[in-house]
Amino acid sequence: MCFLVKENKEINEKYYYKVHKTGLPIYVFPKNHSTSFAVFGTRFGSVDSTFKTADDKDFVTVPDGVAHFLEHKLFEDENGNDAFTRYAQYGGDANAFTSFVRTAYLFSCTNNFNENLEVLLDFVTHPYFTEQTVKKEQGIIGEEIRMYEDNPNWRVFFNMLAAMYVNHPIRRDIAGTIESISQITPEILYKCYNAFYNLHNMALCVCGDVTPEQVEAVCDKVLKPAPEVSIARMTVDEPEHIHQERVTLNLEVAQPLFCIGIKQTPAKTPEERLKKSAVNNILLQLMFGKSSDFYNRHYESGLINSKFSASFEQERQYAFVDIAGSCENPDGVKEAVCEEITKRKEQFFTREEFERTKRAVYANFLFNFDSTERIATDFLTYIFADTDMLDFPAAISNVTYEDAMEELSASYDTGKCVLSIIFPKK
Amino acid sequence: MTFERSQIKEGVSLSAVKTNKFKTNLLTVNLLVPLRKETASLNSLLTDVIKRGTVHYPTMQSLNKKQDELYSLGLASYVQKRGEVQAVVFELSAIDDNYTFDKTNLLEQSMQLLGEMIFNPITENGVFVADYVAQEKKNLIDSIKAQINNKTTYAITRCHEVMCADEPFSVNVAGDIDIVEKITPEQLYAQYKTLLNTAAVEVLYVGSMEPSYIAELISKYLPFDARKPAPMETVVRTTAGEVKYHIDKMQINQCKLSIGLRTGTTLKDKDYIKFALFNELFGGSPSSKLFMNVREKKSLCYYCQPIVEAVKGVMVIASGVDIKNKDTTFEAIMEQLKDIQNGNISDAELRDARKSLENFYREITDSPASICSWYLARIIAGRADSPEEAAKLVNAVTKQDIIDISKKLVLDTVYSLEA
Repeated sequence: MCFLVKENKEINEKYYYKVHKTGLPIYVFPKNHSTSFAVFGTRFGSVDSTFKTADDKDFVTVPDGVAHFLEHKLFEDENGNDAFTRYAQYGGDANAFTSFVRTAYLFSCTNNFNENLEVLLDFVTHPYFTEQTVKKEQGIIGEEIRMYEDNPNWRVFFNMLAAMYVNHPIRRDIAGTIESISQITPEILYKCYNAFYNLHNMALCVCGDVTPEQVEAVCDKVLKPAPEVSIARMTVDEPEHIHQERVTLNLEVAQPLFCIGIKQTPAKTPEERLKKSAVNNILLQLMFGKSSDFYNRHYESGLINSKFSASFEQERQYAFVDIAGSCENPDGVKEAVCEEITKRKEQFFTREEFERTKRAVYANFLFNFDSTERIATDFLTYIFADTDMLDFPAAISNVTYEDAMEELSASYDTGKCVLSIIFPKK
Repeated sequence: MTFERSQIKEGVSLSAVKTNKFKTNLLTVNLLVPLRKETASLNSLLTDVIKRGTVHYPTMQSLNKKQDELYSLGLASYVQKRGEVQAVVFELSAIDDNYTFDKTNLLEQSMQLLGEMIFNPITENGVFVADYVAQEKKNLIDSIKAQINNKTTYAITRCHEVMCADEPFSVNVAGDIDIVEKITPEQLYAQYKTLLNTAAVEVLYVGSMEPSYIAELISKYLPFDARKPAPMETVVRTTAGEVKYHIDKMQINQCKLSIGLRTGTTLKDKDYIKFALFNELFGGSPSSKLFMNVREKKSLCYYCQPIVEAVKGVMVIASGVDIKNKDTTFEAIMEQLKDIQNGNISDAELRDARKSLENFYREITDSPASICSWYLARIIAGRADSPEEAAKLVNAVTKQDIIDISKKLVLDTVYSLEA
């Protein structure tokens, strides 16, 4: 089977796509840069803590932080070699990350692309876990967790999630806790690995000065056909309402930090997801962007400062708005945000304001295409949401004035608004 | 990718990288002055006040709306330090004309707006607007105070301050709270004029346009006069006295250990590449000695990384550790340095460090921001070699070169932030 081509002529970008004979979907994004970038990811993140494969009778629940722990541990092989060392001989600059819904392994290089790709595909498909190596990692990850405990921006964000969600595992830290990771064993890691690290559940995205055939040849060499594994994830019974309206914590900060969360209902289909993302980006820019009345009025009054920002986050199972900043009076900011939402539902923006903002959001998206890393990692996010990055510009263009009005009244419920604050220690 | 450097006027230069790789244009106007306690705060505050409005766009909102219209034009202003030089930076990032709906001359319109921001800020009674100055003073003081929020960077900054206490390098580039509090609109405006008329002006450009066209736009919209700027000097110390130990207390979970060293080599040195390779092998990559031994083998920390200030010739090895392992980690880190000084470098380690450094240099050419940052540091150090040229030199560096250069490092300060 040949590669299929998808092109967006307007922004002059295209990619090649096929399902490799082993079951792995491959995406290649040609780019005339010196740096080539590859991301190999699986749909396994911190929220996938309760699941069932065909071999299991019942759902199993694994300790918090397993996906992230597994990411760390895959780097080591049975000879005690670190994947970093294997990359190093070919000059590959490697990394990995775990988010709520995915784990990704990546490298960038300016030479020896095939060899580096071989290392990536090989180590991710060859797990090796023992009591001893698990124990050693508990020390390193323990320090990583402690580092985040002292990071006020991280804490204020996770406290917001815990306030918004009642049951959903998104309310728990991606890395878990020192306590939860102490329960991790090699058996648990193998269990998760065998369930989620199946080529059908994964994807490979490459961006750079490479050909699709070149990528396929490396896959032919390294990968073995995988039987499809069916995974049932426990559907979380998450109510529409929030858990807690206000949550505070004291840390070593100079001025209070805040995150305001607005819980939304996730979109049901990939098309809706793409549209929801476009329309929310436009709405947030209109209401809270640097050129908005809100931002300027409250900046002038001293309620907020240039650290104020608003963004939209969504995956299959959740969707929310995150408005963050640092100021003396976070409660005042929340009140002002809710007032603004209520007011705009009554008196929406002018068509001219809407069109200008839409253009700005469109242009902003183009900036992403200057980085092979950005393209490859963002692309994976879109793919795992069953959407396509190259469809996003059109999704922005297609948002109508009425769409924006409708989304504001449907998805910005001030009764689902939470406030998380980090106050300075006394 | 081509690099061209030209003089627009005496004291005003353009360094342009022409490439079709990107969908965007990036242009930075760098006003370079000596880093001094008396002026650093003024320059820092200036970059905030200047964003509040221009004569034609007198409010922040009208200016931001204009930027939206220009396809989300990015206009930024901020301060940086490179050695003992303060850079007051005005930055423009715009999408390439080809990607606008109407193929408009976006870059020219953007340059006009940038010029307006720099040369025609909104004023009242001949100085900056008093209300704006008062608000931005408060915001700046809050943001200086907020430097404690990020424990990792705070512990690095504090180590620099302790290490270079009696050198200009210890000046906080964001400003000093006591000085900021006393700034008046008159004083700020006077400094603005002095800066505009006397600083060395270095314009950097990365994008698809011809350098001659950029030079034309500069002459048209950035009317800097010719000037004779003060030389950009950084005093470099290559020795250290008795090791300084300093502990700051804070209620935190993880101890931040920062080890400060004088490197004995700076970017001004012709053989800087030898130091760069030493650094890569020591701690610059995941295959380095620090990562492989202190993190992977001994499991002492999640990160352990040398942060190098190449113009000043100082290095801070930053790590986050359990307080009970502080001394063990210090020993383990210094042991890795001693190891290199004693010549314990395997062929594989040398090969990996070379590949990693070469890769690092080549990747710079794929990011407009990295290209600008690369040339700014080089211009301040009085050189103009490209990342590709640096990459080509890597393989010529020998094991002995690394050993020799590593022996120039001296321990100066051991700093920790702990509960």
